[in-house]
Amino acid sequence: MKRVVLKESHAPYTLAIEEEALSQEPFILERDGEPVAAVVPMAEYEAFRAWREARDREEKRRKDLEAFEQERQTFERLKPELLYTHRGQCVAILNGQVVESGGDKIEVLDRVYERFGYRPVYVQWVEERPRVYKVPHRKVVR
Amino acid sequence: MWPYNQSVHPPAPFLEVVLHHPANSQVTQSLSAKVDTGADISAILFSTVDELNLSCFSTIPVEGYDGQLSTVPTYAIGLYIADTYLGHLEVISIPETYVLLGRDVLNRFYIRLNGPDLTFDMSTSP
Repeated sequence: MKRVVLKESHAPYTLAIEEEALSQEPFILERDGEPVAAVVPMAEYEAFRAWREARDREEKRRKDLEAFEQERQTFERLKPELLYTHRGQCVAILNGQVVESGGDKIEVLDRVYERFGYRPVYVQWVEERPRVYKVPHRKVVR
Repeated sequence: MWPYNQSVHPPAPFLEVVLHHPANSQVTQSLSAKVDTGADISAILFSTVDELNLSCFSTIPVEGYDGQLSTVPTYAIGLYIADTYLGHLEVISIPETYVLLGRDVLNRFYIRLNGPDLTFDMSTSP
């Protein structure tokens, strides 16, 4: 005997929206008297989507900065020990430990990204005093 | 040979560069860049960090024109100048509308500045 599963087919909902009315206020869709969705003009939706993306980006940046700061603090904590083991080298700190080291900062970083993906990491030279970079950029405002 | 940018005063050597995200070379930005032989390290815009969603990976002490020292975050970025790909670089970010090309980049090129004619040339061969 062959069994056939019957699927219930819902009748499609139809909704007539006057654009002029939509531009004044959103339409609230209700089911059994409860609001389930809102219909808004496309421009308003795009603005909302842009706001949500910016908020998500900001949230990710905040979390990345927190993770970066943690790795930086780990480096500072490990530095006395690293001066014995990795003096003059660059080390990458990830998840609280040294995961890569070498003589070129960018090469060390690229190896980390290759192994672990693009994520917060702290890469720094192990030296008593860090080198100071001079960037005397200024422009005259006329 | 490129003309100096004469919208700044005095005119200065600027050229177009292309930056790309270090983990995704498809995510790029074309920007104007100023040749700045006084800078030890190159700099990108604050807005590039935001738009390319870059994560800082290190910090360096930077001394400004007034001798003030501050520790700033650094970012990795891929850089093309004309047809030359320079690979990934460590850069800082600044509140500007153009990239600064410091000597970390410029020292890879032969550069001829022709001030009187307001033109300059940059190439990888003499």
